Amino acid sequence: MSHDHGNVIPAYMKVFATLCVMTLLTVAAAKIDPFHGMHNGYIFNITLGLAIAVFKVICVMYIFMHLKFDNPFLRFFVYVPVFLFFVMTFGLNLEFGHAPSNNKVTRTVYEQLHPGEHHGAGHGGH
Amino acid sequence: MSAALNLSHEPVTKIAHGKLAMWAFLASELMFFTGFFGTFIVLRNTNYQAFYEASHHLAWPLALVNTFLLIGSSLTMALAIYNLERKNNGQFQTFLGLTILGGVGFLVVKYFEYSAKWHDGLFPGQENHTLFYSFYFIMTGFHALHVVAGMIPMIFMLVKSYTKKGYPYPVKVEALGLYWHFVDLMWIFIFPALYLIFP
Repeated sequence: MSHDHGNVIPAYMKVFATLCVMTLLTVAAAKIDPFHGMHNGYIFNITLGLAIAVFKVICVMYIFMHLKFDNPFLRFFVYVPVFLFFVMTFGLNLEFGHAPSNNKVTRTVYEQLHPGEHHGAGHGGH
Repeated sequence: MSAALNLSHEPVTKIAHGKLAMWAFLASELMFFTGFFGTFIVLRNTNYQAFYEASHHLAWPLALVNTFLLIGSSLTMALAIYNLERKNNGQFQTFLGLTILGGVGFLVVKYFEYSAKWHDGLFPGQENHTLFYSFYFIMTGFHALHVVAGMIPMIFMLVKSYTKKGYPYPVKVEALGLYWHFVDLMWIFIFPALYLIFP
């Protein structure tokens, strides 16, 4: 802000169009279900949905929220929490989510939630 | 506004204090929502069948409409700030008004969604799908509260721009714009997480 970034309206319009297209792509990806029948496919479809969302978020932050034009110092406020956000979402998804049978913590939670259900050792292998 | 705004008291960052504070606040907000997403993902992956069945009661087309409403209102907010910086008061008022309308539209759709869920007995504490709908109501509920919280200062600014013939504090509008984009960003994650990842 405070600096004139010139005519940013074409950039705004491009971001808006990208967001609309990516939203429809998210819906299409969910309805087509490309990982159907795949081993642990349910982990991949949440990852795909989040990956498209990440792309949209980067567009909004850099153009609408002016991160591209402002002092790079501001990016510190963005990169650190966004990194933590990814650790919590992708990290938990790929590791803990993978592992009713592999990971001790999740296995315990899983067994409490599904009493009496046997989990084969082969399920959820990396 | 470039000429009017003096940032000489912020010689290092050249970022207005209000804006810097808003970014710091948004960082803490992101951590708040991260807690929801983290627990949601762990419980979703360990209870896939239950979440799968529960999610099929959600109306994703309504959420798609809401997504477009929020993306559109993000655009109009950015355009409102652009016009305020160039002292186009009329256009500023138009775009800020459209942003408020986008928020109102979002809440109206949300009202219909919530009342349908309530009518079907799909809410926390019920016999069926209580875990999924706890997440649904907490995540979308907090998000809707954020929408309301953003609209209140927007209405105030719009009214003031009519009575004072223009809004004299562009930094405030810009900080509010950051907040409004953040609300949009959170919906960008909530929409696929709750409505779409259970094909």
